[in-house]
Amino acid sequence: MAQIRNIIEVRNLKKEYKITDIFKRLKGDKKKVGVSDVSFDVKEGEIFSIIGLNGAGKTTIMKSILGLLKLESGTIRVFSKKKLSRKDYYKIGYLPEISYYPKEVKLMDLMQYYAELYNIDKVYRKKIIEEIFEIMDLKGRENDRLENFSKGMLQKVGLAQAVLNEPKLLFLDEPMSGLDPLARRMVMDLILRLKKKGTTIILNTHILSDVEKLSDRIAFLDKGEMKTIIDFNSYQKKNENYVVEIDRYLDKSIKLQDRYFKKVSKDDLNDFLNDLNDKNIKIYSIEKENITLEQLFLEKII
Amino acid sequence: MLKSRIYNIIVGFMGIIILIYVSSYMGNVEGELYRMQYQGEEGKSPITINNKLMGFKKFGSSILWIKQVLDVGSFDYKAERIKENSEKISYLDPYFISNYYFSGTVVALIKSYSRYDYGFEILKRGLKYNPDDKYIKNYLGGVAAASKGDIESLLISFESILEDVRDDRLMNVVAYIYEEKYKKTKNKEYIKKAVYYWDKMQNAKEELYQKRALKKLDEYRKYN
Amino acid sequence: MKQIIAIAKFTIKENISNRLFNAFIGFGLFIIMSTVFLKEISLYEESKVIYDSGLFLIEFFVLLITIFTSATLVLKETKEKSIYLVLTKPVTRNMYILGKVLGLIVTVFLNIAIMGGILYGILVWQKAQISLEYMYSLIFIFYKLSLVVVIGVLFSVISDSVITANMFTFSIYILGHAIYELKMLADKIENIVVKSILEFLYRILPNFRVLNYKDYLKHIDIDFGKISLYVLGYLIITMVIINIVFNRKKI
Repeated sequence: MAQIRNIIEVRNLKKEYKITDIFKRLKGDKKKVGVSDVSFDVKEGEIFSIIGLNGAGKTTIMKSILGLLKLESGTIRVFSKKKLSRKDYYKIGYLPEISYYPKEVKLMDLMQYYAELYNIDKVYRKKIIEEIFEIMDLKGRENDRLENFSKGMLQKVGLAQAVLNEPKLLFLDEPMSGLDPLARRMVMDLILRLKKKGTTIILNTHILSDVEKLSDRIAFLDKGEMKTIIDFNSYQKKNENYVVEIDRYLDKSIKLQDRYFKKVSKDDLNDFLNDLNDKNIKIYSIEKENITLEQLFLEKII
Repeated sequence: MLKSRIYNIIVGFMGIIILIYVSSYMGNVEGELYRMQYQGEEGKSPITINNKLMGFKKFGSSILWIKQVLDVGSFDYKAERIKENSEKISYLDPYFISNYYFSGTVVALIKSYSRYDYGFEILKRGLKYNPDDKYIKNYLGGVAAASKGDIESLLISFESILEDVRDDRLMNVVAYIYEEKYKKTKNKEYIKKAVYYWDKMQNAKEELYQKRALKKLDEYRKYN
Repeated sequence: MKQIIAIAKFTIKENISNRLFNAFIGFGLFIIMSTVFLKEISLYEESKVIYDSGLFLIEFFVLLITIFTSATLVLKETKEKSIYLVLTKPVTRNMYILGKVLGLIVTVFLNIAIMGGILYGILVWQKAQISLEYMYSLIFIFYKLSLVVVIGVLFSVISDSVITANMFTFSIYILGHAIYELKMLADKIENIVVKSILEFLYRILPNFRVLNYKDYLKHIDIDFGKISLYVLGYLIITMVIINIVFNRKKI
């Protein structure tokens, strides 16, 4: 069996920020903790999402892995290396959370520039760019200046440059930001397509519905600490519960407006139903509990 | 990171060696350029010092030249002012020869000024910085002659200048002298010479001389 | 490497499409062309006046643009985070800076070439006598402003504020013209501390006086090769300093 290796390994990552506000410094707060003691692995080929509130430290983690920030302590290994060399970046794509593009430049010129930075051969350059424009629905705007682009369009431009070189490792920081439902759909398809090709994707977001459908594993980040990492699908499978509506109160059942509900795990369901039969308790309905990520998130974080 | 550090050190070293190699040459040129400048205090003013330190002496001298031309043309200014303007220009660019020709003759030869002392000072300065100039000595000679009333020497000096240099003022003076000579002696040769110079003055840039030339040409039409 | 050229090309494109930039150059050209009107008040010296004024204006206008673009360069891209889009590609920080500086220097070259060409046309039209001196003057303006580019980028990397970067670059431009006076001052002063500071400044400030060819009062035979080497050496050292500072900089 081929072993799936860890494409990223983070150990005890710590990052602090200096507080520049004079008043806070006088109070004694010299440093603000961005991320403290975070450890996790990302397996090759998976979609790994980091979810958390704004300011939890998602972007800090991403930038640290990318080599854009220096760490106070801890180690990060990417492609099994301690430090990314220039050549490693050929395999990496990055969509930052916020980015401004040079306004008075045309879209095509910008993409050509990025393609040149990836050293994509002139012969293929135009073809690849056109393909990506097709996928991202940017066709027809090649010769427009970026200053005329809406937020959603610019987000698409960002995605386009991130996937330009068919990256093995893709970092997306809030990829759905500013996109209409159609575009969101397109991005989700793109992500899944990339996964099929073997791309490892790290996704930062605070929009949980997107993450549910895409991710293999989800990390919950709160105030710089990683609370838990779960495989949501298997979590759901493991925690399949059913809610049975019955006609009277039983031990540990819930009453809601003259109706009684009892939660039973999948394994216990059969025995429970038999038990109800024996006791002649009426069963009004049996429903499968639908755990959403949101519920889980609120549970773990708050 | 190590690679780039080594790269930086090696390249930086190369750069330092290059700079050391050329530094003495650069120093020499600097010194030469400094010695070329005007050595003296005449014409020192906030503006000229500014121009000198910021490195646009020639541009400054051109602008001051325009100011001088306008000042002279407006007839409003005293000889002192004309001399000061000239000094400022020569402070910035002592090799700007027209400055001496123009300013020196204006203060000396224009009747309302008649400051021969200023004229000498200006022209001598011109001679000091431009000893090889062909005409500056003649200008000095002519102005000296004018100060003594020596018409003949004046004519010799100025006419030799006028063979090659365009100077409306000198032409005016010379034409005037020839006209006077004609009036005294009725010798036609003299008026012909006067006409010759007035003819040349027809496209003079200074309006005064242009008008005078046209008027005189009209007056002495038969000798054209 | 190819990426450095790509960055340089893109920097040039950015500058050319920048409307403010173009308006400025256009305005500069307009002013230069209107020096022709000085003809009437120059009393037979119009050649000198147009020549001196034209060259001064070329340097002045291109200088202003150069200071502004180079001093705000890195600052702008850092604040706008667009620098992340480049540094997460196979481009090192050294390559990035080199590409940017190269692009800026080529932009300066193009500006001077265009304006110099137009002034040349005006001078020919006015039947002025133009010699090789004119070309040398333009080349030296280019040399001067290339140094301004790297000095501007240096301050852009050191400083966090656009205003201070611009101001420092401009101040160095002015001081670079007066370094001989600085040296003379240093020789006169007895206070060791001040003396050392002034001598130090004399060593590190760019020698704009020697590079100020258009303002040479008399013609001197210069060793063009040595002066070019000087410019090269100064560029190299400043670039190395920029690299060292930029590699440590938090972005």
